[in-house]
Amino acid sequence: VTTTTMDALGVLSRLRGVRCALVASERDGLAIESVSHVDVDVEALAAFATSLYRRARQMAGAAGFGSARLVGIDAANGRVVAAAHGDLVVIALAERDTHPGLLRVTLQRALAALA
Amino acid sequence: MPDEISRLSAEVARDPSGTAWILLADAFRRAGRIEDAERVALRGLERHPYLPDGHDALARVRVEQGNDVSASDEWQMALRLDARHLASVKGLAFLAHRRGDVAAAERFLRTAAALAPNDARIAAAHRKAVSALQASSSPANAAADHSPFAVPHPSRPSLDRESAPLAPSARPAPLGDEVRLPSRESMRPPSSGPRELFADIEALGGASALLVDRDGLVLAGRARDGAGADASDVLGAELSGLGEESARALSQLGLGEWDRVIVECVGATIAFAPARDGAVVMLATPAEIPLGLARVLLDRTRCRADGWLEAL
Repeated sequence: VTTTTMDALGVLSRLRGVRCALVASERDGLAIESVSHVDVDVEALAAFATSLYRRARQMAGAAGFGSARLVGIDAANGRVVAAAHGDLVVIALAERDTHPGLLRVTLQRALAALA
Repeated sequence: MPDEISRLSAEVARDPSGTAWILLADAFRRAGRIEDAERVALRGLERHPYLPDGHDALARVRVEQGNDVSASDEWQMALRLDARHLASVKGLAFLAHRRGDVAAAERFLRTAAALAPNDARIAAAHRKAVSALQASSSPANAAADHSPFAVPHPSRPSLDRESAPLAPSARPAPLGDEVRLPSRESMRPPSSGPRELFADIEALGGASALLVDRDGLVLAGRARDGAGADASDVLGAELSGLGEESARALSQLGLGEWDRVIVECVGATIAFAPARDGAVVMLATPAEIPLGLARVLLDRTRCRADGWLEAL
């Protein structure tokens, strides 16, 4: 499992502008594996992104839009994207100027690697 | 003019990924072919949603259509993309003047003058706006017709796109006829009513748009669920506290203020953005609508919501 997880994170972390790639448990919001710059608070990122993903999933379900496939948040100083495979949530934190389309596609590739 | 349209049409056909559509839309507009101008501008913005000049071109079309609210959305969108976009600042000055908001017109012209310090026409317009503002603030002079305001109707702007909102008009608007308190209605789309606030935006992408306050209570718009039923209250409640929660977490991560959240679902794309006073706007588009278009529509929804909240 660890090799597969690290493969998935490797796909993400190689993308220019990505500062942290991690896999977390959606159930408890704890990080399982991560590849990160030293200045990133990995635990806080895992907690926030899994919470956001969980909330988005609930909202999509409540509105009858089907399951949530990908969640992304753009902020002044960066972007966070997250997608889930079962209980595992793959998360990437990137610089704000990281190409959003590439980031999205790379996250989906990482997810595929995890599967 | 037909030659120019033919040439630009050929250029757009030769290079559909280029930006000649902006000039083509403008040429159609100046020729009075407003529907063609609108079609070209909307199609161009689908490909290039981040071009301020494209939003400027569509704003001018909206002015011709008498849709000042939508024009304001487009110019504000252009300024979000480029805060120094002079044509948009001048366009907003024109709209402020047209709705009688002399103070706002003066502010926009002041900004325009700072962006183009050597433009004599802007400087003159700003001076007149300052005079108008002073006159309107004096009770004794409020009813007097002091001087013509130099932000005329751009119904037939000149070829110079930058100068269009300040271009000479056949009938300069006299200040005494125009100055009045800004109407709240003027900030709303023609078919007013809070539920219809985003009706024209929704029509663009088969979307539904909603504005909720910080407590998750619906302020305007409506949201439909996957089956087409009204889900405004459900989604409003789900959105409750989203802004504050995100702000806290992002601050802890050093990411600054949040700008938008996009959730891609199997059947739809849901997008949120912060609005004034802690409110949140939400836009849901069918899954087949391209993500880039959903982002553009979200930004327009936010601009509309901010204007509406400000006017309340």
